Amino acid sequence: MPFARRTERALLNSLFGKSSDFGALATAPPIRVALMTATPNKTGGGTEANYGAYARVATSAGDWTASSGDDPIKNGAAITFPEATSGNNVVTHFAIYDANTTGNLIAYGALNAQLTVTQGVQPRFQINDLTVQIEDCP
Amino acid sequence: MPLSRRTERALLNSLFDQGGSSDFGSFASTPTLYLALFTAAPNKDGTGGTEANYGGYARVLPEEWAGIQASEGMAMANDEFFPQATSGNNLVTHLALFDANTGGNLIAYDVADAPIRVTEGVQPVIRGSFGTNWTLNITDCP
Repeated sequence: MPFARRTERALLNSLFGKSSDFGALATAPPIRVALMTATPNKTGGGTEANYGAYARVATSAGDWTASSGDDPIKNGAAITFPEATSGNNVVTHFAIYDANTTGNLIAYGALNAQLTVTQGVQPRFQINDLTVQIEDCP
Repeated sequence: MPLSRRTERALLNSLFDQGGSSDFGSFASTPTLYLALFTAAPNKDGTGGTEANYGGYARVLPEEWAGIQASEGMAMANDEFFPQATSGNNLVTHLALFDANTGGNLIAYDVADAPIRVTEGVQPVIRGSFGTNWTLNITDCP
């Protein structure tokens, strides 16, 4: 069944620590952004980037722009990953986890264009590159 | 981008005041969820739609919700009985959840499994018992 848009906004905003009609979640998860070379699925899986010096990026509520109107949650600040010291990864997806390593998958999505990461490359998502929303009906 | 199944399950549990079962705990302002009958579908933005207006009609407050492991959805744990009609003639086609017993904000809505004709003497009932009639799921579509 579909949720009202207001409900979707409130769920997302609470999840990302933003002001919400439902208030804060008692145990809102930390939001850590990851790069993936193979997509996870609804229950986890996928392959995370492993280039030299790779690490997930920790974000806080202030790094995200609240969902409003019909708009999804978006990153309101650039998200910059460590520069590659070695390796060769083709990043096709991003994912959000609740920990710096391992943890639980929160959400995931495909990149508009894949990104090849080799030595000297520093992956970066610009403002509004990442969006998270309750899935629309097909 | 999609949410993971675990995230969806946790948000549903939090929304339906199952905070003890949610990985995220409870919302600070969990809405109270009232079940309503509609004779025309509301819109996603909460506008439109026509709520039932037969004599004696009122929204009901389901006392218990239960998670459904298989579908990752949420259902009423029990049958929910609306007031018996004292007059009027409504064809109920949709169900909705609101955060108040009158007015309020639309939380969710759906098509009824089968239309319900309500005339004098009829008492509408929405079956619970783990999804035999109506379940909620973050990614379900009408």
